[in-house]
Amino acid sequence: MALLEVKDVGYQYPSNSAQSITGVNLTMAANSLNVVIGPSGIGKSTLLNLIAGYIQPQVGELRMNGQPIQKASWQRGIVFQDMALYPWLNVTQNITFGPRMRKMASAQIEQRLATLLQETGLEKFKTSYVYELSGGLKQRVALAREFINQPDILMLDESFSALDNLTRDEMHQILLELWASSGNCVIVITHDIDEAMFLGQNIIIMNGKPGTVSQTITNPYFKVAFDEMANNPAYFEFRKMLLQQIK
Amino acid sequence: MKKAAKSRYLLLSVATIAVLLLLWIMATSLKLVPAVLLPSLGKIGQTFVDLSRSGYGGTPLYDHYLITMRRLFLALFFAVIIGIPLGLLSGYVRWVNAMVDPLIQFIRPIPPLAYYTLLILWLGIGEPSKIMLLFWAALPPIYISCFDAVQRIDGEYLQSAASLGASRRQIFFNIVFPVALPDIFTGLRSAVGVAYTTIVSAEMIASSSGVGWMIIDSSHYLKSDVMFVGIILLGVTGVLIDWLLKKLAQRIVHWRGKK
Repeated sequence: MALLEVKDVGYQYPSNSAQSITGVNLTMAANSLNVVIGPSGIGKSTLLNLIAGYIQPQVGELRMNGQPIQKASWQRGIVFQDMALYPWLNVTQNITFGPRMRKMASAQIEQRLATLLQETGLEKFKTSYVYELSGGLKQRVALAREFINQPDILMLDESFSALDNLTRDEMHQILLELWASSGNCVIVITHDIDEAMFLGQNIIIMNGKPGTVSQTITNPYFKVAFDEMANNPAYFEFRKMLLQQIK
Repeated sequence: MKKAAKSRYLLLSVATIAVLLLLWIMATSLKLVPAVLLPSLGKIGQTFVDLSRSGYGGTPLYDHYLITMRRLFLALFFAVIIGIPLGLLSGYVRWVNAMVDPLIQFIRPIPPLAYYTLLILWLGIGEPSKIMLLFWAALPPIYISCFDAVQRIDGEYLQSAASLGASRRQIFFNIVFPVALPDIFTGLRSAVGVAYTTIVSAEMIASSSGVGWMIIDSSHYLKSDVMFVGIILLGVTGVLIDWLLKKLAQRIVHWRGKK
């Protein structure tokens, strides 16, 4: 059984006369890294909101482990573009927010926290308030806050789009390392084609009006850096094909 | 604000007050204004000393002051413990809003003096009616600041908390309350201001104590020096309370305006 099933889903925002997405069909497995790409306003974030359980589809259904998705749950974590870190809490308190709310045993929280602080390089900043950190460090906190909860599905909504190239590359590596050790299903939304090609084991293409999933492609260049492919025509052909799909 | 600029503005404030005082001294020493309208600073100081020693209307000045402050702080205390949860809940829970909001919106624009006589009829001429009047004056600013703060909460805070496993109740205490805290302090400062402006009204009717009563009573006998002592006392205390609240807010709500 697939971890996530999206069947014929359609959604229209109450304030909008036009349908946002229609006839979306998808399945995603555990331990997979999926990237959703598509033009702006196609409904990528709407799809994420549906998977998160923030909104309910008017048509079709979404299931996780065979159970209908009806409301938000820690099993489906999300990192927003603005991260939504809590400025009144320090780094440690932000990261441990989820487990504390779920009343996880303190020893277990401490153990997970220590591992994540090390993996994300945040040990030096554990008592700092999040507003004292740079954009890149904040992103690390946002990722750690999700990974400590060990959700089955983790969604990233344009999370790295505001970062500079160097910091974004660092975040890609951290994400891949955290994903490798957690084995969860990660869904990344991006408008950056190179980010999609690097991070996407599967690339899900959304296009049309209203938006729908037109294709899911297994990416042959998963985890292959753009620089390494500078002289590879096949890479650029694949990139061109993706760009045409989302125009 | 940079330190140099801050000191410049502080100097400007001090200079303005100094100029006003100088004009006051000139006007009174040159007898440009009758003493009954504007007593000299020396006379006001002497009256303050006299009132501190022998009191006014048989009650020592510090007792008048403490009575007024007791009324004010009791009213503010109840306005805080009722207004904060009511405002936050009204912003967070639809049915609470449906029940509470129309009542607060009805009371809010009514001048407190309009219902003071009713309060006296219901609660008597003693302390309860005075405290209740100040309470009703202080409640709306606190309620509205809390309600507005909840309305303005970034939806992603609530969504992310729910996706991290927080229940609605946990979100209320761990997200809604801290997000609203900066606005709660703003509301509290407004509430102190409103309660302060009402204090003289509260002590004007059916009263024989308090700084507000002292001001009103002395005005009947054109004792402008006593009136000035009361006004300065209330003014300085008001500035001090506001400064303390501002300092407290800076210390507690260190994340205000930061992300």
